[in-house]
Amino acid sequence: MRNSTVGAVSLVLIMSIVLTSGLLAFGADKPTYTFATEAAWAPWDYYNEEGDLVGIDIDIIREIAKVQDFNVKFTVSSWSSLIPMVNMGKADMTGGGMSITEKREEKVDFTDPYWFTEMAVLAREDSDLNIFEALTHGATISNQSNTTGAEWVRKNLIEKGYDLNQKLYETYPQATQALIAGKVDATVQDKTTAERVVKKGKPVKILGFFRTGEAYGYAVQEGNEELLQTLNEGLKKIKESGKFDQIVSKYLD
Amino acid sequence: MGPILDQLTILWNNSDALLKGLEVTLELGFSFFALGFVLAILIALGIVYGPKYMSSAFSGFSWIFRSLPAIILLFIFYYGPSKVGVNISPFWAAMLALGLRHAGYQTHYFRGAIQSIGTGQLEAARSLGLSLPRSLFEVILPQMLRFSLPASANEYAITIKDTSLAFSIGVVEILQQGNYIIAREYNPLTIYITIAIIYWIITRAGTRFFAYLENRYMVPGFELER
Repeated sequence: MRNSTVGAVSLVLIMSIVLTSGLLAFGADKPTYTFATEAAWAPWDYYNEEGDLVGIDIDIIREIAKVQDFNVKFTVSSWSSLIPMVNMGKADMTGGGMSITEKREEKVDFTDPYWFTEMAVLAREDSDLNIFEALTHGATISNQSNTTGAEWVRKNLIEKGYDLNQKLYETYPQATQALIAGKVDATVQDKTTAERVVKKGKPVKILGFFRTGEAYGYAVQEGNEELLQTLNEGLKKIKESGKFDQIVSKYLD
Repeated sequence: MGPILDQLTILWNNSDALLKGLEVTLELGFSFFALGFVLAILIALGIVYGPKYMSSAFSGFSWIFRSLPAIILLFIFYYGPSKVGVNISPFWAAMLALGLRHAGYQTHYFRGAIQSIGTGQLEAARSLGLSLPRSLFEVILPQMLRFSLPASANEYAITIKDTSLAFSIGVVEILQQGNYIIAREYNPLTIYITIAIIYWIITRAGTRFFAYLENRYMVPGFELER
Protein backbone atom coordinates (compact mmCIF):
# COMPACT_ATOMS: atom_id res chain seq x y z
CA MET A 1 0.00 0.00 0.00
CA ARG A 2 2.68 2.51 1.05
CA ASN A 3 4.81 1.54 -1.87
CA SER A 4 2.03 2.20 -4.31
CA THR A 5 1.33 5.62 -2.69
CA VAL A 6 4.98 6.59 -3.06
CA GLY A 7 4.83 5.33 -6.61
CA ALA A 8 1.68 7.35 -7.39
CA VAL A 9 3.11 10.52 -5.82
CA SER A 10 6.37 10.25 -7.70
CA LEU A 11 4.50 9.52 -10.91
CA VAL A 12 2.43 12.70 -10.46
CA LEU A 13 5.62 14.65 -9.66
CA ILE A 14 7.42 13.36 -12.73
CA MET A 15 4.42 14.04 -14.93
CA SER A 16 4.04 17.59 -13.68
CA ILE A 17 7.76 18.26 -14.25
CA VAL A 18 7.50 16.88 -17.77
CA LEU A 19 4.37 18.92 -18.43
CA THR A 20 5.73 22.21 -17.10
CA SER A 21 8.99 21.83 -18.94
CA GLY A 22 6.98 21.03 -22.05
CA LEU A 23 4.89 24.16 -21.54
CA LEU A 24 7.97 26.28 -20.86
CA ALA A 25 9.60 24.96 -23.99
CA PHE A 26 6.42 25.75 -25.89
CA GLY A 27 6.44 29.30 -24.56
CA ALA A 28 10.03 29.79 -25.66
CA ASP A 29 9.25 28.44 -29.09
CA LYS A 30 9.57 31.69 -31.04
CA PRO A 31 10.80 31.52 -34.59
CA THR A 32 14.45 32.42 -35.14
CA TYR A 33 15.40 34.42 -38.21
CA THR A 34 18.93 35.17 -39.38
CA PHE A 35 19.80 38.67 -40.52
CA ALA A 36 22.83 38.96 -42.82
CA THR A 37 24.76 42.22 -42.74
CA GLU A 38 28.07 43.65 -43.83
CA ALA A 39 28.92 45.17 -40.43
CA ALA A 40 31.15 47.71 -42.12
CA TRP A 41 28.74 50.56 -42.86
CA ALA A 42 28.75 52.90 -39.89
CA PRO A 43 26.46 54.25 -38.51
CA TRP A 44 23.98 51.69 -39.90
CA ASP A 45 25.77 48.45 -39.13
CA TYR A 46 29.26 48.10 -37.64
CA TYR A 47 31.23 46.67 -34.72
CA ASN A 48 31.89 48.98 -31.78
CA GLU A 49 35.09 48.91 -29.75
CA GLU A 50 33.72 46.24 -27.45
CA GLY A 51 33.25 44.00 -30.47
CA ASP A 52 29.44 44.20 -30.37
CA LEU A 53 27.44 44.50 -33.54
CA VAL A 54 25.67 47.86 -33.37
CA GLY A 55 24.16 50.50 -35.63
CA ILE A 56 20.82 51.98 -36.59
CA ASP A 57 19.74 48.96 -38.62
CA ILE A 58 20.93 46.48 -36.03
CA ASP A 59 18.97 48.25 -33.28
CA ILE A 60 15.89 48.55 -35.50
CA ILE A 61 15.91 44.83 -36.30
CA ARG A 62 16.42 43.95 -32.62
CA GLU A 63 13.51 46.23 -31.72
CA ILE A 64 11.26 44.72 -34.41
CA ALA A 65 12.16 41.25 -33.13
CA LYS A 66 11.06 42.37 -29.67
CA VAL A 67 7.67 43.75 -30.72
CA GLN A 68 6.97 40.99 -33.26
CA ASP A 69 8.15 38.22 -30.91
CA PHE A 70 10.86 36.44 -32.83
CA ASN A 71 14.53 35.69 -32.17
CA VAL A 72 17.07 37.24 -34.43
CA LYS A 73 20.53 35.90 -35.17
CA PHE A 74 23.01 38.14 -36.97
CA THR A 75 25.45 36.78 -39.49
CA VAL A 76 28.06 38.90 -41.22
CA SER A 77 29.37 38.59 -44.73
CA SER A 78 30.75 40.75 -47.52
CA TRP A 79 28.46 43.39 -49.03
CA SER A 80 28.28 41.74 -52.44
CA SER A 81 27.24 38.41 -50.93
CA LEU A 82 24.26 39.68 -48.90
CA ILE A 83 21.58 39.52 -51.62
CA PRO A 84 22.80 36.12 -52.92
CA MET A 85 22.68 34.78 -49.34
CA VAL A 86 19.02 35.70 -48.93
CA ASN A 87 18.22 34.66 -52.47
CA MET A 88 19.69 31.20 -51.85
CA GLY A 89 18.26 30.77 -48.37
CA LYS A 90 21.55 31.16 -46.47
CA ALA A 91 19.94 33.93 -44.43
CA ASP A 92 16.30 34.90 -43.87
CA MET A 93 16.74 38.63 -44.31
CA THR A 94 19.34 41.25 -44.98
CA GLY A 95 19.81 45.00 -44.98
CA GLY A 96 21.97 47.71 -43.53
CA GLY A 97 21.76 50.94 -45.44
CA MET A 98 20.45 48.90 -48.35
CA SER A 99 18.50 50.87 -50.93
CA ILE A 100 15.51 49.36 -52.66
CA THR A 101 16.29 49.03 -56.36
CA GLU A 102 14.57 47.36 -59.30
CA LYS A 103 17.57 45.17 -59.91
CA ARG A 104 17.60 43.91 -56.33
CA GLU A 105 13.82 43.47 -56.42
CA GLU A 106 14.35 40.83 -59.11
CA LYS A 107 16.23 38.66 -56.59
CA VAL A 108 14.56 39.44 -53.25
CA ASP A 109 11.46 41.10 -51.80
CA PHE A 110 11.78 44.39 -49.92
CA THR A 111 9.89 45.74 -46.91
CA ASP A 112 8.29 49.16 -46.98
CA PRO A 113 10.95 51.89 -47.17
CA TYR A 114 12.01 53.10 -43.74
CA TRP A 115 14.63 55.71 -44.59
CA PHE A 116 14.99 58.17 -47.46
CA THR A 117 18.57 59.03 -48.20
CA GLU A 118 20.53 61.57 -50.16
CA MET A 119 23.89 61.24 -51.81
CA ALA A 120 26.87 63.26 -50.62
CA VAL A 121 29.86 64.31 -52.71
CA LEU A 122 33.07 64.20 -50.69
CA ALA A 123 36.36 65.84 -51.67
CA ARG A 124 39.70 66.35 -49.95
CA GLU A 125 39.80 69.18 -47.44
CA ASP A 126 42.19 71.26 -49.57
CA SER A 127 40.36 70.64 -52.83
CA ASP A 128 39.34 73.62 -54.99
CA LEU A 129 36.65 71.65 -56.81
CA ASN A 130 32.99 72.55 -56.46
CA ILE A 131 30.26 69.92 -56.63
CA PHE A 132 29.79 70.35 -60.40
CA GLU A 133 33.46 70.15 -61.26
CA ALA A 134 33.85 67.09 -59.03
CA LEU A 135 31.32 65.20 -61.14
CA THR A 136 32.40 66.35 -64.61
CA HIS A 137 35.46 67.92 -66.29
CA GLY A 138 37.42 64.69 -66.49
CA ALA A 139 37.35 64.18 -62.73
CA THR A 140 37.74 60.71 -61.22
CA ILE A 141 35.43 59.64 -58.44
CA SER A 142 35.36 56.53 -56.24
CA ASN A 143 32.35 54.46 -55.20
CA GLN A 144 31.72 51.30 -53.23
CA SER A 145 30.91 48.63 -55.81
CA ASN A 146 27.37 47.24 -56.01
CA THR A 147 25.90 50.32 -54.35
CA THR A 148 23.21 52.66 -55.56
CA GLY A 149 25.73 55.53 -55.46
CA ALA A 150 27.90 53.70 -57.97
CA GLU A 151 24.89 52.80 -60.08
CA TRP A 152 23.54 56.38 -60.07
CA VAL A 153 26.86 57.85 -61.19
CA ARG A 154 27.14 55.32 -63.99
CA LYS A 155 23.60 55.76 -65.26
CA ASN A 156 23.08 59.48 -64.82
CA LEU A 157 26.52 60.86 -65.52
CA ILE A 158 28.83 58.47 -67.36
CA GLU A 159 26.23 56.91 -69.65
CA LYS A 160 24.85 60.35 -70.45
CA GLY A 161 28.26 61.32 -71.79
CA TYR A 162 29.66 63.48 -68.99
CA ASP A 163 33.43 63.46 -68.84
CA LEU A 164 33.88 61.48 -65.63
CA ASN A 165 35.84 58.40 -64.57
CA GLN A 166 34.67 55.99 -61.90
CA LYS A 167 36.76 53.70 -59.71
CA LEU A 168 35.01 51.00 -57.69
CA TYR A 169 36.10 49.64 -54.31
CA GLU A 170 34.77 46.71 -52.29
CA THR A 171 34.10 48.71 -49.09
CA TYR A 172 33.30 52.37 -48.55
CA PRO A 173 36.31 52.99 -46.25
CA GLN A 174 38.44 51.87 -49.19
CA ALA A 175 36.58 54.26 -51.49
CA THR A 176 37.13 57.06 -48.97
CA GLN A 177 40.77 56.15 -48.44
CA ALA A 178 41.32 56.34 -52.21
CA LEU A 179 40.11 59.94 -51.98
CA ILE A 180 42.33 60.81 -49.01
CA ALA A 181 45.33 59.20 -50.70
CA GLY A 182 44.76 61.31 -53.81
CA LYS A 183 43.84 58.42 -56.13
CA VAL A 184 40.53 60.07 -57.01
CA ASP A 185 39.11 63.59 -56.92
CA ALA A 186 35.82 62.90 -55.17
CA THR A 187 33.71 60.16 -53.57
CA VAL A 188 29.96 59.72 -53.86
CA GLN A 189 28.25 57.91 -50.99
CA ASP A 190 25.21 58.05 -48.75
CA LYS A 191 24.79 61.21 -46.70
CA THR A 192 24.80 59.70 -43.20
CA THR A 193 27.95 57.71 -43.88
CA ALA A 194 29.75 60.66 -45.47
CA GLU A 195 28.87 62.87 -42.53
CA ARG A 196 30.32 60.33 -40.14
CA VAL A 197 33.63 60.31 -42.02
CA VAL A 198 33.81 64.10 -41.66
CA LYS A 199 32.85 63.95 -38.01
CA LYS A 200 35.70 61.47 -37.40
CA GLY A 201 38.11 64.25 -38.40
CA LYS A 202 39.33 62.78 -41.68
CA PRO A 203 40.82 65.39 -44.07
CA VAL A 204 37.73 65.51 -46.27
CA LYS A 205 34.80 67.87 -46.73
CA ILE A 206 31.32 67.54 -48.15
CA LEU A 207 30.86 69.53 -51.37
CA GLY A 208 27.13 69.06 -51.41
CA PHE A 209 24.19 66.68 -51.47
CA PHE A 210 21.81 65.59 -54.17
CA ARG A 211 18.54 63.65 -54.18
CA THR A 212 18.25 60.37 -55.99
CA GLY A 213 14.88 59.45 -54.55
CA GLU A 214 16.11 56.21 -53.10
CA ALA A 215 15.06 54.59 -49.87
CA TYR A 216 16.39 51.89 -47.57
CA GLY A 217 14.48 48.67 -47.01
CA TYR A 218 15.07 45.19 -45.59
CA ALA A 219 15.15 42.26 -47.98
CA VAL A 220 13.70 38.78 -47.54
CA GLN A 221 13.67 35.75 -49.82
CA GLU A 222 11.29 36.14 -52.74
CA GLY A 223 7.80 34.96 -51.75
CA ASN A 224 8.44 34.92 -47.99
CA GLU A 225 5.21 36.85 -47.30
CA GLU A 226 5.09 35.84 -43.64
CA LEU A 227 8.43 37.38 -42.71
CA LEU A 228 7.81 40.38 -44.95
CA GLN A 229 4.56 41.09 -43.14
CA THR A 230 6.19 40.56 -39.75
CA LEU A 231 8.86 43.13 -40.60
CA ASN A 232 6.44 45.65 -42.08
CA GLU A 233 4.16 45.43 -39.04
CA GLY A 234 7.15 45.74 -36.74
CA LEU A 235 8.45 48.79 -38.60
CA LYS A 236 5.04 50.43 -38.33
CA LYS A 237 4.80 49.69 -34.62
CA ILE A 238 8.20 51.09 -33.71
CA LYS A 239 7.62 54.18 -35.86
CA GLU A 240 4.34 54.82 -34.06
CA SER A 241 5.83 54.25 -30.62
CA GLY A 242 8.64 56.71 -31.31
CA LYS A 243 11.27 54.02 -30.75
CA PHE A 244 12.41 54.32 -34.37
CA ASP A 245 13.25 58.04 -34.07
CA GLN A 246 14.93 57.36 -30.76
CA ILE A 247 17.29 54.82 -32.37
CA VAL A 248 18.05 57.09 -35.33
CA SER A 249 18.85 60.11 -33.18
CA LYS A 250 21.01 57.98 -30.88
CA TYR A 251 23.38 57.38 -33.80
CA LEU A 252 23.00 60.48 -35.96
CA ASP A 253 23.01 63.35 -33.47
CA MET B 1 54.08 61.68 -31.54
CA GLY B 2 50.44 62.50 -30.92
CA PRO B 3 48.99 60.76 -33.97
CA ILE B 4 51.18 57.68 -33.46
CA LEU B 5 50.08 57.45 -29.85
CA ASP B 6 46.45 57.80 -30.98
CA GLN B 7 46.88 54.95 -33.43
CA LEU B 8 48.55 52.76 -30.81
CA THR B 9 45.67 53.46 -28.46
CA ILE B 10 43.19 52.43 -31.15
CA LEU B 11 45.21 49.25 -31.73
CA TRP B 12 45.29 48.51 -28.02
CA ASN B 13 41.54 49.09 -27.66
CA ASN B 14 40.86 46.79 -30.60
CA SER B 15 43.36 44.07 -29.79
CA ASP B 16 40.56 41.71 -28.70
CA ALA B 17 38.94 41.86 -32.12
CA LEU B 18 42.26 41.32 -33.88
CA LEU B 19 43.10 38.38 -31.62
CA LYS B 20 39.69 36.86 -32.28
CA GLY B 21 40.36 37.21 -36.00
CA LEU B 22 43.83 35.72 -35.59
CA GLU B 23 42.30 32.69 -33.88
CA VAL B 24 39.95 32.10 -36.83
CA THR B 25 42.80 32.62 -39.30
CA LEU B 26 44.96 30.06 -37.51
CA GLU B 27 42.12 27.56 -37.14
CA LEU B 28 41.23 27.81 -40.80
CA GLY B 29 44.85 27.90 -41.95
CA PHE B 30 45.98 24.86 -39.98
CA SER B 31 42.90 22.77 -40.65
CA PHE B 32 42.90 23.30 -44.40
CA PHE B 33 46.67 22.80 -44.54
CA ALA B 34 46.39 19.52 -42.61
CA LEU B 35 43.48 18.36 -44.77
CA GLY B 36 45.35 19.14 -47.98
CA PHE B 37 48.57 17.57 -46.67
CA VAL B 38 46.99 14.23 -45.76
CA LEU B 39 44.90 14.10 -48.95
CA ALA B 40 47.96 14.90 -51.04
CA ILE B 41 49.88 11.95 -49.58
CA LEU B 42 47.10 9.56 -50.61
CA ILE B 43 46.67 11.17 -54.01
CA ALA B 44 50.41 11.18 -54.77
CA LEU B 45 50.75 7.51 -53.80
CA GLY B 46 47.67 6.73 -55.89
CA ILE B 47 49.07 8.53 -58.92
CA VAL B 48 52.44 6.79 -58.79
CA TYR B 49 51.52 3.32 -57.56
CA GLY B 50 47.80 3.00 -58.18
CA PRO B 51 46.19 1.19 -61.11
CA LYS B 52 45.83 3.14 -64.33
CA TYR B 53 42.26 4.36 -63.77
CA MET B 54 43.07 5.59 -60.25
CA SER B 55 46.22 7.29 -61.44
CA SER B 56 44.41 9.25 -64.14
CA ALA B 57 41.42 10.08 -61.90
CA PHE B 58 43.75 11.46 -59.19
CA SER B 59 45.79 13.39 -61.75
CA GLY B 60 42.56 14.87 -63.07
CA PHE B 61 41.51 15.91 -59.56
CA SER B 62 44.77 17.67 -58.91
CA TRP B 63 44.70 19.24 -62.37
CA ILE B 64 41.22 20.72 -61.80
CA PHE B 65 41.97 22.12 -58.37
CA ARG B 66 45.21 23.69 -59.52
CA SER B 67 43.48 25.36 -62.44
CA LEU B 68 40.82 27.32 -60.53
CA PRO B 69 41.25 30.58 -58.62
CA ALA B 70 40.74 30.12 -54.89
CA ILE B 71 37.95 32.69 -54.82
CA ILE B 72 35.86 30.78 -57.38
CA LEU B 73 36.34 27.55 -55.43
CA LEU B 74 35.18 29.34 -52.28
CA PHE B 75 32.00 30.51 -53.98
CA ILE B 76 31.31 27.07 -55.48
CA PHE B 77 31.81 25.29 -52.15
CA TYR B 78 29.70 27.81 -50.24
CA TYR B 79 26.77 28.38 -52.58
CA GLY B 80 26.88 25.05 -54.43
CA PRO B 81 25.67 22.74 -51.61
CA SER B 82 22.68 25.06 -50.99
CA LYS B 83 21.41 24.21 -54.45
CA VAL B 84 20.99 20.59 -53.34
CA GLY B 85 19.69 21.50 -49.88
CA VAL B 86 22.88 21.06 -47.85
CA ASN B 87 23.58 24.05 -45.63
CA ILE B 88 27.35 24.26 -45.27
CA SER B 89 28.87 26.80 -42.87
CA PRO B 90 31.29 29.40 -44.27
CA PHE B 91 34.14 27.91 -42.23
CA TRP B 92 33.64 24.38 -43.57
CA ALA B 93 33.17 25.59 -47.13
CA ALA B 94 36.42 27.54 -46.87
CA MET B 95 38.27 24.64 -45.27
CA LEU B 96 37.19 22.22 -48.01
CA ALA B 97 37.75 24.62 -50.91
CA LEU B 98 41.19 25.76 -49.75
CA GLY B 99 42.12 22.28 -48.48
CA LEU B 100 41.34 20.55 -51.77
CA ARG B 101 43.13 23.26 -53.73
CA HIS B 102 46.16 22.96 -51.48
CA ALA B 103 46.04 19.17 -51.97
CA GLY B 104 46.16 19.73 -55.72
CA TYR B 105 49.48 21.56 -55.44
CA GLN B 106 50.99 19.54 -52.62
CA THR B 107 50.34 16.31 -54.53
CA HIS B 108 52.99 17.25 -57.05
CA TYR B 109 55.64 18.00 -54.45
CA PHE B 110 55.05 14.53 -53.07
CA ARG B 111 54.96 12.93 -56.51
CA GLY B 112 58.29 14.54 -57.36
CA ALA B 113 59.74 13.34 -54.07
CA ILE B 114 58.53 9.78 -54.67
CA GLN B 115 59.98 9.70 -58.14
CA SER B 116 63.34 10.83 -56.83
CA ILE B 117 63.50 7.78 -54.55
CA GLY B 118 64.09 5.24 -57.29
CA THR B 119 62.12 2.13 -58.15
CA GLY B 120 64.85 -0.21 -56.89
CA GLN B 121 63.93 0.44 -53.25
CA LEU B 122 60.31 -0.60 -53.69
CA GLU B 123 61.36 -3.69 -55.65
CA ALA B 124 63.83 -4.59 -52.90
CA ALA B 125 61.19 -4.17 -50.19
CA ARG B 126 58.72 -6.27 -52.15
CA SER B 127 61.31 -8.99 -52.76
CA LEU B 128 61.93 -9.17 -49.01
CA GLY B 129 58.30 -10.14 -48.63
CA LEU B 130 56.76 -6.84 -47.52
CA SER B 131 53.26 -6.21 -48.80
CA LEU B 132 52.72 -3.21 -51.10
CA PRO B 133 50.99 -1.05 -48.42
CA ARG B 134 53.70 -1.88 -45.89
CA SER B 135 56.55 -1.15 -48.25
CA LEU B 136 54.91 2.14 -49.20
CA PHE B 137 54.35 3.05 -45.57
CA GLU B 138 57.72 2.01 -44.21
CA VAL B 139 60.09 2.55 -47.11
CA ILE B 140 58.67 5.14 -49.48
CA LEU B 141 56.63 7.44 -47.19
CA PRO B 142 59.37 8.42 -44.70
CA GLN B 143 61.72 9.36 -47.52
CA MET B 144 59.01 11.12 -49.48
CA LEU B 145 58.11 13.31 -46.50
CA ARG B 146 61.77 14.19 -45.92
CA PHE B 147 62.47 15.04 -49.55
CA SER B 148 59.36 17.18 -49.86
CA LEU B 149 59.95 19.29 -46.73
CA PRO B 150 61.53 22.31 -48.45
CA ALA B 151 58.72 22.39 -51.03
CA SER B 152 56.09 21.94 -48.30
CA ALA B 153 57.51 24.89 -46.40
CA ASN B 154 57.17 26.95 -49.56
CA GLU B 155 53.62 25.73 -50.07
CA TYR B 156 52.79 26.68 -46.48
CA ALA B 157 54.13 30.18 -47.00
CA ILE B 158 52.01 30.57 -50.13
CA THR B 159 48.72 29.03 -49.00
CA ILE B 160 48.45 30.19 -45.39
CA LYS B 161 47.65 33.68 -46.66
CA ASP B 162 44.78 32.36 -48.79
CA THR B 163 42.76 32.31 -45.56
CA SER B 164 42.25 36.05 -46.11
CA LEU B 165 40.07 35.22 -49.13
CA ALA B 166 37.61 33.32 -46.95
CA PHE B 167 35.86 36.49 -45.91
CA SER B 168 34.24 36.73 -49.33
CA ILE B 169 31.93 33.95 -48.10
CA GLY B 170 31.65 35.26 -44.54
CA VAL B 171 34.48 33.76 -42.49
CA VAL B 172 35.45 36.59 -40.16
CA GLU B 173 39.23 36.14 -40.06
CA ILE B 174 41.85 38.66 -39.07
CA LEU B 175 41.73 40.80 -42.21
CA GLN B 176 37.99 41.17 -41.87
CA GLN B 177 38.22 42.05 -38.19
CA GLY B 178 40.65 44.69 -39.41
CA ASN B 179 38.11 45.93 -41.96
CA TYR B 180 35.54 46.29 -39.17
CA ILE B 181 37.94 48.47 -37.20
CA ILE B 182 38.69 50.52 -40.32
CA ALA B 183 34.97 50.98 -40.97
CA ARG B 184 34.69 52.56 -37.53
CA GLU B 185 38.01 54.40 -37.14
CA TYR B 186 38.96 55.13 -40.78
CA ASN B 187 42.62 54.25 -40.23
CA PRO B 188 43.43 51.72 -42.97
CA LEU B 189 47.21 52.07 -42.96
CA THR B 190 47.66 51.38 -39.24
CA ILE B 191 45.44 48.33 -39.36
CA TYR B 192 46.83 46.89 -42.60
CA ILE B 193 50.43 47.31 -41.43
CA THR B 194 49.60 45.64 -38.11
CA ILE B 195 47.95 42.74 -39.90
CA ALA B 196 50.87 42.50 -42.33
CA ILE B 197 53.21 42.08 -39.35
CA ILE B 198 50.97 39.36 -37.92
CA TYR B 199 50.93 37.50 -41.25
CA TRP B 200 54.70 37.81 -41.40
CA ILE B 201 54.99 36.22 -37.96
CA ILE B 202 52.62 33.38 -38.86
CA THR B 203 54.48 32.67 -42.10
CA ARG B 204 57.92 32.97 -40.54
CA ALA B 205 57.01 30.71 -37.62
CA GLY B 206 55.68 28.07 -40.02
CA THR B 207 58.68 28.08 -42.32
CA ARG B 208 61.01 27.97 -39.28
CA PHE B 209 59.08 24.94 -38.07
CA PHE B 210 59.58 23.19 -41.43
CA ALA B 211 63.29 24.09 -41.32
CA TYR B 212 63.47 22.51 -37.87
CA LEU B 213 61.81 19.33 -39.19
CA GLU B 214 64.25 19.27 -42.09
CA ASN B 215 67.21 19.37 -39.73
CA ARG B 216 65.71 16.98 -37.22
CA TYR B 217 64.86 14.29 -39.76
CA MET B 218 67.78 14.65 -42.11
CA VAL B 219 69.11 11.23 -43.13
CA PRO B 220 72.72 11.11 -41.88
CA GLY B 221 75.15 10.96 -44.76
CA PHE B 222 72.59 12.27 -47.24
CA GLU B 223 72.70 15.93 -46.29
CA LEU B 224 74.12 18.40 -48.74
CA GLU B 225 77.58 19.78 -48.06
CA ARG B 226 77.36 23.25 -46.65
